[in-house]
Amino acid sequence: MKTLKTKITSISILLFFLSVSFTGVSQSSSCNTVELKTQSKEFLKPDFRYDASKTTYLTFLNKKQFKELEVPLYIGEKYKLVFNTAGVPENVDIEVYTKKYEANGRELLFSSRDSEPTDNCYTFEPTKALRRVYIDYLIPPASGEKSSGCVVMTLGYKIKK
Amino acid sequence: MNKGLLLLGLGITLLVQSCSSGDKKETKSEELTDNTEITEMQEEPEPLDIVFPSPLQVASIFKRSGLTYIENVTNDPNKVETYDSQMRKSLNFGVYGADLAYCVLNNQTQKSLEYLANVKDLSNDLGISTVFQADELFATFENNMGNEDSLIYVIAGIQERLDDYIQMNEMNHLSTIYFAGGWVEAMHMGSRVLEASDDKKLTQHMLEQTLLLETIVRAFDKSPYKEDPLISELHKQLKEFDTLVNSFEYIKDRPIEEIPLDEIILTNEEVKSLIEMASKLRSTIVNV
Repeated sequence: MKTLKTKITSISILLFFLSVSFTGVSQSSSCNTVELKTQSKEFLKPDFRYDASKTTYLTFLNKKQFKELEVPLYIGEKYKLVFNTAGVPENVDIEVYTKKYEANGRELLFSSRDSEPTDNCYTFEPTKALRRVYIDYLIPPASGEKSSGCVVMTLGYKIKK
Repeated sequence: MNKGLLLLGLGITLLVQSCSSGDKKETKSEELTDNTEITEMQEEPEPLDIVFPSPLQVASIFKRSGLTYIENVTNDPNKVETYDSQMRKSLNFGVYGADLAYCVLNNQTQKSLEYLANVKDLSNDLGISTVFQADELFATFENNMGNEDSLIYVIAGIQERLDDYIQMNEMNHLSTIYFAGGWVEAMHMGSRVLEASDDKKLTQHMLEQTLLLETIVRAFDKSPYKEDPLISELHKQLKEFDTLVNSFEYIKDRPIEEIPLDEIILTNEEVKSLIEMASKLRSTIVNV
């Protein structure tokens, strides 16, 4: 009888560990990148063609965080960037700069704070001819318990004939 | 038994959690202060966070810059059989991808099908064949022969699925290798046309492409494959190429953002050295 009780206790502990683990997995996997990208691509139509995309996975902690992407561009091309934030449970500020974070004289080209999203998507078309842009995600502290999500950036270039 | 189960539980927990964090990369803890000033940052940029352009865009720009179709400028499709290592296959996956884009943009549909088959073969070897949804893809391709817009749409779809696959499977370092292969092939094609003509627009575009070198080299610096003999050699040659370009009179000592391409002047010697370097890089990748 004692052996059975011990086994039940052990199995309960095992199930507890497993449930904790898989809760973590399900939070992360709530980000359906293919679906989010499909939504983003609608914002490229009809003038822009898909070029590249990048999903940035974020985990909200009890502190502010920062993540930067570098996107090389070609002079003479017109681009459109779409940021789909439907996969993040918290508000993430998105900024686009001419230079990387530590560079002197970097210029802010776009801030999501100054823009209204449509269906959780922010769009930005650089008007300057640039060789590269830097995308900064400013991640706030978690408002509740630790959570996670993703931002999908989709890049399109203007179709020229 | 009790202790065994407990340890097993702990083991599984740690395993699942480590898989979880590896699969979905967590944000680095670059903390910000309460104001908007950034005080603590990563020490150096990560190559994984570079978003390279697609081979289709590179090929489109080259075409508009005057890159005409030249027979046999692309890599021999039969060479695919000789590529034995994973890194050579990965690089030539990029090469054949660029060849495919080049042929599609120049209405070479039969050639395009050959390169599509090559790319698919390599994708099988590289474990990324799901990207190609093979049967449907070939049928779509054949049904749209002669329709450039539709074929471009198909190629762009492959790129999208490849991007998805790479990101979902944490293969970002490999995408740098694929991109490098495609980039070198595009530079080789441009070089071949430049050899036969003195096309200023194409020279400008070739030079613009070389401005990506610093970024590619930076990505290779952080590549987990950089100890591989082939990648190591390519890395070395890419650095040499970058050094060469930065020695050009027009570029020397100018920040990348301040290099206007419309006034570009390269000496004949500089153009020649650019062509030679592109040829050397390409040879390293395609010739076993």
